[in-house]
Amino acid sequence: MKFSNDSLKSKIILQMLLDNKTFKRSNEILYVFYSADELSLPFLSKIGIQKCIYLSEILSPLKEIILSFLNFIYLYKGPYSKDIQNTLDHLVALNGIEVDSFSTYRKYPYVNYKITEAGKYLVENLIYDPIEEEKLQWIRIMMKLIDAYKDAYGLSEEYQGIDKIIGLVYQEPSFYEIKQRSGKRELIPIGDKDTLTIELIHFLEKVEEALPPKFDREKYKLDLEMVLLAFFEYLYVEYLSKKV
Amino acid sequence: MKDEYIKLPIIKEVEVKGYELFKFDWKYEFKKGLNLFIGENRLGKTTTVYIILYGIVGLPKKNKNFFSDRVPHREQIKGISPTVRLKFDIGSDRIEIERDLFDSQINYLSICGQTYMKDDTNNIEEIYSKEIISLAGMSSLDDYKFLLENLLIREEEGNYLLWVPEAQIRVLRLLFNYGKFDEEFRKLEREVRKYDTKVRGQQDTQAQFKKSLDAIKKEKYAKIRSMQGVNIQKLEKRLEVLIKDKNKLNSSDKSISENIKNIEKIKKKATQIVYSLSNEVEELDSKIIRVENKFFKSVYADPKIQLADHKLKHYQICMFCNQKISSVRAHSIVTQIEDKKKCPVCNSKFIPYSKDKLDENERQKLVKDLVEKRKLLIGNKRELSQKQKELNDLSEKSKQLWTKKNGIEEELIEKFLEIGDIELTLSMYGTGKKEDMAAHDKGIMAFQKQIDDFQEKIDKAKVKYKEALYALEKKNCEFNQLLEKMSKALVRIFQEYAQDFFYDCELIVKQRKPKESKIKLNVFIPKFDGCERTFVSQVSKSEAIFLEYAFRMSLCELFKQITGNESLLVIETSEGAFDIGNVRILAETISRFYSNDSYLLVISNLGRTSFLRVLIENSRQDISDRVLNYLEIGRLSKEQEKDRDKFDEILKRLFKI
Repeated sequence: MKFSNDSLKSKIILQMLLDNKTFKRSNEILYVFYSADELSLPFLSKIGIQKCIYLSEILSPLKEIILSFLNFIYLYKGPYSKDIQNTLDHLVALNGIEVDSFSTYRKYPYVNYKITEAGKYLVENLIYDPIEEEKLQWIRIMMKLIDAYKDAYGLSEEYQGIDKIIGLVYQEPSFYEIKQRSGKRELIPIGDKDTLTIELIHFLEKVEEALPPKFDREKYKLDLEMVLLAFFEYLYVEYLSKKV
Repeated sequence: MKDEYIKLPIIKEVEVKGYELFKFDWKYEFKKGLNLFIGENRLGKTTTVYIILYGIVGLPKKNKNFFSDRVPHREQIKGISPTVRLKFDIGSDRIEIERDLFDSQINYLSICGQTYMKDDTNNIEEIYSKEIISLAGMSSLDDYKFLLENLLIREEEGNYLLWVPEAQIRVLRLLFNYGKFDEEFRKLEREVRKYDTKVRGQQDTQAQFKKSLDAIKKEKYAKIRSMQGVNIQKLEKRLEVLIKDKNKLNSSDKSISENIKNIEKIKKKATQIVYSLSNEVEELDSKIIRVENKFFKSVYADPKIQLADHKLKHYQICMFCNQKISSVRAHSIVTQIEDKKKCPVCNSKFIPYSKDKLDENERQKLVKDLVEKRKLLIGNKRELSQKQKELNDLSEKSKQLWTKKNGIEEELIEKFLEIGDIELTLSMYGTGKKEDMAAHDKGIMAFQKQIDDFQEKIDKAKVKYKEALYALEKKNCEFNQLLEKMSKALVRIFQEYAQDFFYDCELIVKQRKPKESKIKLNVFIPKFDGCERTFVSQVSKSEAIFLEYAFRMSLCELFKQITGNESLLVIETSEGAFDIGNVRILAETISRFYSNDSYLLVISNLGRTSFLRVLIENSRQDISDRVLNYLEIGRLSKEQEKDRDKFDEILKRLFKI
């Protein structure tokens, strides 16, 4: 079949966009593993990586960063994006990450991944691009927070390592709202500035305004990291309050 | 002098051939004095009258099948049609003509010493018509036909010349057609009628305008009546204010229209800028993605596929399994990778490692380009958003101006309507300005102008009409003088004929106005028992028939006296309307006509033998060769056949005498 010039052009552009998306998804997953490696986390499980990416995505509007995993759906076990799993496997083929361990229970595979030296080399090359470096920075902050909270007292004791973070993700307002409202599979709103999650963040940002006049406002002004910390703390408190 | 008058035909011989209405072909030779066609009803006596008439003048176009419709076998037999051959004299000229009875065409013609045959002559009808007109001194063959139908041939249930003024006058004019009088008279009549129609037509149109004028005046007056008590000063003040407002609104409208025009111009420019910026942003976006992809490809460039390909190509060993595979399978995979440049598993496109891989400098250069493009994109996006905002503002402003303009226009319409109303009111009181004259007055003026224009045309046409009428009156006077000259003689002749039946019957001249005529014309009417008999209803049936015969015979006799020209008078008698005594008187009167050596054809049935007996007695000649017996030539019905002996006996007795 012959294509007209326009049709051929749009096909090329479409392929170009798909390629770009695939690269960016690979990049973002590599940044998660790279950050984990920096934090000396030996590996990340299938479940753990989903939660790390979800938190990075849903909070990204704060930094005005555009990440590429937007299609997270609500599942009872937590937010899930099939694109993450496919990109993970592709990265294995590219030797960016490797499988640390692989086992199955009934039909479900349990896989742990870790970054390879080649993967680290890829990241070091990718951050030549300032935007990619910015993304890495953002994911680095998120991973630091996740790493800090994974060992919080009483959090998801049935899980291990990074996976423990699942308890906090369940309290995340956008996810929690769906759980409360329908509990059925649906797309979780991500990337917008008016999600419940961002609303909460803005509320936290304005805490300083509620301080009595005698406080030095400059001193108590929260920077981004502090706001995110407050957010995680909120999730943790919520988790605990529901657990009790 | 005598040559100035017309000449009537004297039929000398009639011969009918091949006509199925009759048992035999027959021929009859007319003689001076009495000629008698006798027979029972439905044997063809009246048809014979028509055969003679149409033999001379032909059948009218609309009546072409007159003779064929009277017989059962209408088709021509072996190409032979029934014919009539007539010999007749016009003055001293003998004419012989044969016509086809079924299509009225002339088969043979002998006139003025010339002979014409249908097959040899294309325009035989034309020749005949032209020659007859010339010989008879008529204007047309139609005139001749008119005279034959209205004067010379009187059918049993025929018309009354005495009581149909238009026919009588025309017969008189044609008969005494001195110097083609009738033609000129009728021309003048047509002229009068033409101008009369013109006047009437224009009067009708004028009447329509008058009607419209009345209606509009009525409407105006009704409005004036409904406006009693209107304050003129107040209205004038209001009008002044309204006109000021209207002018103000007009200038606002103009200025807003100007603003809209300017804004639309700027908007158009801004739209073009936004469109072009959008395109630039889109293009830049696409470029950035392309550069990003190039950068990512260079980072992710993996020599693994090339290595696997190399191992398969040269050693047929799978790099991942370290197993040797068949050279065919290896070749197929290598071809897919190297030649088709596609993945051997999913068939997607491969880009060679060597092309993706960039050295340090190249990569830095690429990133630099990427950063610049992104900067440019940010700048463009900012500009686009600013221009878009400007465009939105302009659109909003334009929308507001349009709303304002529409408001002003609506207000203007209201003002216009109010101004119009006030001007109308003021004009009704005669206070409005001339140029603002109200619609009613304009309408009145327009209609009045039309009426006046038409009056002018009518007056002109009336003048023409009066002129034509005067000429006609003059011509009529001329004729009346002629009529007066011969009326004494006519009255005398008529009285002689009438004296047998009436004691004191005379003909008097009376002015009558026929339906189509525009002037009063002199006509003859009978008067007896001291009463003028202007209408046929004023006499009995037998009186009417008698007077009609007397009048026609008188005319023929007078014509003969004045012009010296003779004619054959054909009377199909209606003696059935007379009682026995009167039927003899009728016969005596008719006898008077042919006793003067005039040609007369009497067509009669056998109902009143006394009538026939008197005619035959008075003929003083041997009648046997002057009779056409329809009992012999006609096709008798069964009943008639039964009575044949009785009829023969009657005839025998008649002719014995």
